[in-house]
Amino acid sequence: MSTTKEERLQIRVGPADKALLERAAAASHLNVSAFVVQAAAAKAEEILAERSSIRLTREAALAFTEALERPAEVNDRLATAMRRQRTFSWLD
Amino acid sequence: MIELHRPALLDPRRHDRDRFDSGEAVLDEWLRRYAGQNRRRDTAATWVIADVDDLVVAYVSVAMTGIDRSAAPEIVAKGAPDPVPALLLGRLAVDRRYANLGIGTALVAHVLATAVELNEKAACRAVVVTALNANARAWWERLGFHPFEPDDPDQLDLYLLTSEIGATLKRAR
Repeated sequence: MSTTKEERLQIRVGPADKALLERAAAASHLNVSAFVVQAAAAKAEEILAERSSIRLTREAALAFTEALERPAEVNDRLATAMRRQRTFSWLD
Repeated sequence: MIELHRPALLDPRRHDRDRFDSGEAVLDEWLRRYAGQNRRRDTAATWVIADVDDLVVAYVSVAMTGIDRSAAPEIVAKGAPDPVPALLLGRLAVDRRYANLGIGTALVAHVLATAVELNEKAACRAVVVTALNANARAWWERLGFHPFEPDDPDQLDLYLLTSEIGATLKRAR
């Protein structure tokens, strides 16, 4: 993950969980901090990538609804991207 | 010119994923370890573009989702469907050795065409993506995606309406 500056996150943890995290971190050849960050980032990514629901804020819901109700429009940026010359070719 | 297989559903027995390197450890790891399991649980479908030796050079995972507008109760009160059915483009990664060739765009184009087809047969009103960071958000915006919250730089969820995808692809043909 590309972060410009490291920030601090403090977490409370019970002794049993702490021991478990330490054992798993040692088994993964990581320090506890790196292990927790890596495991939590993977879980966070999974949750975001497989959300069965995207909850909009009130403002976003209103703007999105307005867009949905407009007649279909050509999207110029998309059209330009689709026209761009490919630098590879298909095998099949 | 590099020759690649057209987008195909990930086949763990055929596609070699071990050497995939997008530069995002989370995405590389997910492809190596979880894609097969996930398909069996049917939460997401994974499409890949592979080279002549079936080495994966890019992948995308897609799932059905719903856009929840209940924070604006007046919309739902008017009888508008809620949630709005949509396709969630959950992960997109291209191997670094194949960056900037338009392979990611080709994979996205495949998903967009799928959304149009789905919308004709059932209902799929939008394609939604979650950008991993600000760079990724800029990439999606160049493709025409709209941020749900344009004024909030920390908001990494973006969408394209299926109607505009359909209108755009029709004209491009």
